[in-house]
Amino acid sequence: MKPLVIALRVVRLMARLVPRWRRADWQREWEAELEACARDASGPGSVLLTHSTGAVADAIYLRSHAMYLDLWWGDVRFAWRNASRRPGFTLLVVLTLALGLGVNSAVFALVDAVLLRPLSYRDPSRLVFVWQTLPQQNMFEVEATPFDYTAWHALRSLSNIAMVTYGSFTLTGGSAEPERVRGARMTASMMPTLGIAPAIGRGFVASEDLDDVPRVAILSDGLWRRRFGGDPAIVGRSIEIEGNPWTVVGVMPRGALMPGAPTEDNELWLPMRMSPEEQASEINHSYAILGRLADGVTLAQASAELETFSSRMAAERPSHGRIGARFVSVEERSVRAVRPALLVAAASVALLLLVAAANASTLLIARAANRRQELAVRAALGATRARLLSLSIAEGVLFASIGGLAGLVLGGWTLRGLVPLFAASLPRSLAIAVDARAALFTAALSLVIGIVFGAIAAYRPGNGVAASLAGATRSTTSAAVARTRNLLVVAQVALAVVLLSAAGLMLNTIARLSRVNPGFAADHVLTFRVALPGQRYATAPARVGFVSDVLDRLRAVPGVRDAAVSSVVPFGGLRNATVVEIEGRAEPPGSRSIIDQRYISSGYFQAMRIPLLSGRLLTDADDSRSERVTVINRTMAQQYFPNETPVNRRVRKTVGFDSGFWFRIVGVVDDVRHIGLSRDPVAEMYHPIAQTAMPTFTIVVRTAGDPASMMPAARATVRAADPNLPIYEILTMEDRIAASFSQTRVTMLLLLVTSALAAALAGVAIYGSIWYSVVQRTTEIGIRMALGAPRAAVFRSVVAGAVMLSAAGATLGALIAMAAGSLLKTLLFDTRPTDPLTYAAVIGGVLALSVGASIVPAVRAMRVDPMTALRN
Amino acid sequence: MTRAAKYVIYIVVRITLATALVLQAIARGHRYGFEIVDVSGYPTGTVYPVLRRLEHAGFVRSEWEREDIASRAARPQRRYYEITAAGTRALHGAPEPMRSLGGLQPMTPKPAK
Repeated sequence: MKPLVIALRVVRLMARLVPRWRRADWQREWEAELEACARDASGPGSVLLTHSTGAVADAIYLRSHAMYLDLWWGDVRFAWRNASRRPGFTLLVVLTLALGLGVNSAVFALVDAVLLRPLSYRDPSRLVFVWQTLPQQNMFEVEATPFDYTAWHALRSLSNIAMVTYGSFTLTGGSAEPERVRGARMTASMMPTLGIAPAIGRGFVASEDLDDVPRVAILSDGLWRRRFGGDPAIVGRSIEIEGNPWTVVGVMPRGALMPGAPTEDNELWLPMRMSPEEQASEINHSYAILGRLADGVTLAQASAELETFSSRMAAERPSHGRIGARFVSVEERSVRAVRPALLVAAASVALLLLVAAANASTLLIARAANRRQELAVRAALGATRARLLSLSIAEGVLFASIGGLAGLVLGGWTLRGLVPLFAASLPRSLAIAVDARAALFTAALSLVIGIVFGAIAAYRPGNGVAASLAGATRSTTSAAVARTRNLLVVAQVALAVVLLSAAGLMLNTIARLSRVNPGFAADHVLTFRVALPGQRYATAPARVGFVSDVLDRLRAVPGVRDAAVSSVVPFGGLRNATVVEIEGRAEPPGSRSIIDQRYISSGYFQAMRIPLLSGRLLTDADDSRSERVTVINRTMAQQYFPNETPVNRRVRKTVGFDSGFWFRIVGVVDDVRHIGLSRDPVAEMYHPIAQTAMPTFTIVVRTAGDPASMMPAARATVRAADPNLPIYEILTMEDRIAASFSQTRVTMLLLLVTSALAAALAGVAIYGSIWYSVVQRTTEIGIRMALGAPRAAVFRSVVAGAVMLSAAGATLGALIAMAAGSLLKTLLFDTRPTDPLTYAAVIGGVLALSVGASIVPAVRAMRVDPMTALRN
Repeated sequence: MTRAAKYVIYIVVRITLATALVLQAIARGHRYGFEIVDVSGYPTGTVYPVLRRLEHAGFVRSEWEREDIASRAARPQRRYYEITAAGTRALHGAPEPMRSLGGLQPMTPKPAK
């Protein structure tokens, strides 16, 4: 039995090495094996002893593998004790990191919701728009005709195809106010194509594509809750749309969107309801076509088929001459508008995080310099470099984790401020919040940042242990530390310069955009839209009568200078293009003259202050009894009548509303910017609304005072004219213009904020670095002064040091910014990404900042008392 | 299993000859530490760390022997090891030489010198 006793002793001894949590199990296992072995008694006792040596190896193995984590946990605890001993310092580092991490988590949440999450359709990457193209006119996303929709069913690369057209509709009836809501008319194939279905009730059936069946409608979740109180018995209920009764057959799930209309919730889902004639139309280009790629078909293969198909169509059908077609992925199109702004936002906060991390590193390095003796003692007692690095990383991760937690809170606040800024270009039902994904992202980012900046802070050259122990104040070590610090300062300045130049370029763009003359007087103008329901205003005279009545009433309101009507107004988001032919001019086959048309009341040009160039303006005499007339703009005159007088020529629309009638051109007015300030004017013609009374139009009111204050009066006036009319999109013209470049402004704001923060951090870093170097060089400065250096020279040399540092950083930053300028390109207007003035201003500003940051340390250097300095 | 995945496993678990033999011994039904020591021919100082590694990698799992079996044999409960599905896959994926080198020794205690 003696060998067993010895073997068990070995095990018991070794058990102390085993990590506590598995010690009992471990000991039990070994004892059982040894006892079983002894009981077998099939071998001599030495076997037992040999076997028991394995316990030593086993225990050491387990210890060494648990060691790392145990040690690291110790490091974290040590770091925590250290951090809580210096709450001020800790707060500074944590806040710096929280700033960087917070804005990143906010922007991540935004980017995640908009760019990274898939759309809520089945397999959204397979969904495509099918657009027609007019390469001659430079138009590549032209809506298709019902004829094309039918024809494209032959495409084998599409498993589903659907057609949709957007509009707005007036809801009346019940006790609620009349309301104008966005909606879409779609074929029954739409929902199966998207892979969505109503949450309550049914989708549309194929027979509802035609207009000879009862009217049915599907509500959005939002409309159902808002207007119908979430009535559970809504299916089968009759509602009033455009004055007609429609039966509700379903309610869509929350967040269901129509692709192609991402900024506005689609509240009414209506069936297509076309007549057979409408279904056969080859010229009515007002329908978006959506398809789903068939299984196994790539976009490239599908595009090849579509190309062959449309060139055959162009050859066979006169209506399709020179019309091409192409696929555009739905995912691509839904984020295209916001992607550049979001990418710039993401890049700018990432840069800010780098600046914050570099700043926190300099703080840690500064403290490490104070702890030099402690670290040297550790090194002298045998701590390896790896151990010191581990300690520093534990510290970094600890700070970054607390910073990350604080950052999440900060991110939540930031996001609350950020989302409204992007609201104009985001779907309203999109859920954007600092959620679990954003938290995970922040956690991962904190970990990486913690490790990186811990490692940077740990960097110090090795041979200074003895010198540090000896308490030397100047050594190669501190010179190397100073070098690391300076490098970090240069990096921070460079990153700040990148952000500042981006902000400068955006500022320039905004300034230039604001100086663009829209072609009309945009101040003191209130605009709102009115839609006349079909039944009461079925006839043109009724509509004309309403328009002149409401304009008269508006002009009578105190504070109103003028009032007029146009079917669409600049910055209203609508274009209303048509195709015309010019009398006496043979059009080459397949070419199309595409002109934007507006229907206006006679006083529109005066109310908007659009100047007349030649001919005459429209008058009240141009009504339904007189000859049809039109006024064209300068662009149309230049494009279509380059060497002749357009006045008195006649044009005829070949498609759509009142096509076939000749319109006599009676005047030419100046251009207005219609789509956006950065977009060139398009060819336009203005028809008198008295000759073609459109049922929906925008009223413009020129006011004496603040136009926004006239909103209630305008609403009351329209209500007095007809209490059942909803008025909507009530906006001042200046707000409309501002909204047209809101993304540019948001990007500029974001860049201004991040660059200001980065510049502030860089300024603090310069200050810290120069202060540190002055402290380090106290003896040297003392000697210089003792040798007769004037105080001014000392001052100058300190400031020059700071300027050198920031000049290096600024140069580097400017080079990076110029190289990365293309990222901003799509957001810039009339400003080159390499605009020299912007860069000069930024670099000048940064140099001034460095002078400012170095004044206090420079004054301290100047006041060094040579005697004291030398004595130390 | 893809080749890349195999490669990762060999790097992470380090399927050495000893590892392969221990795994093979367990796969063939040798369940106890010392039994594996006996059939593999490796000393306990090699086998046990290998067992820890295999268990950590999820190639084997272990549990206590049933009490009645141990008491029938009049000895304390031993810890017994069992190959997992991942372990079986790794074993089959091991390079050919390691699989064929399974010249396991007979289950007899080595004679003492």
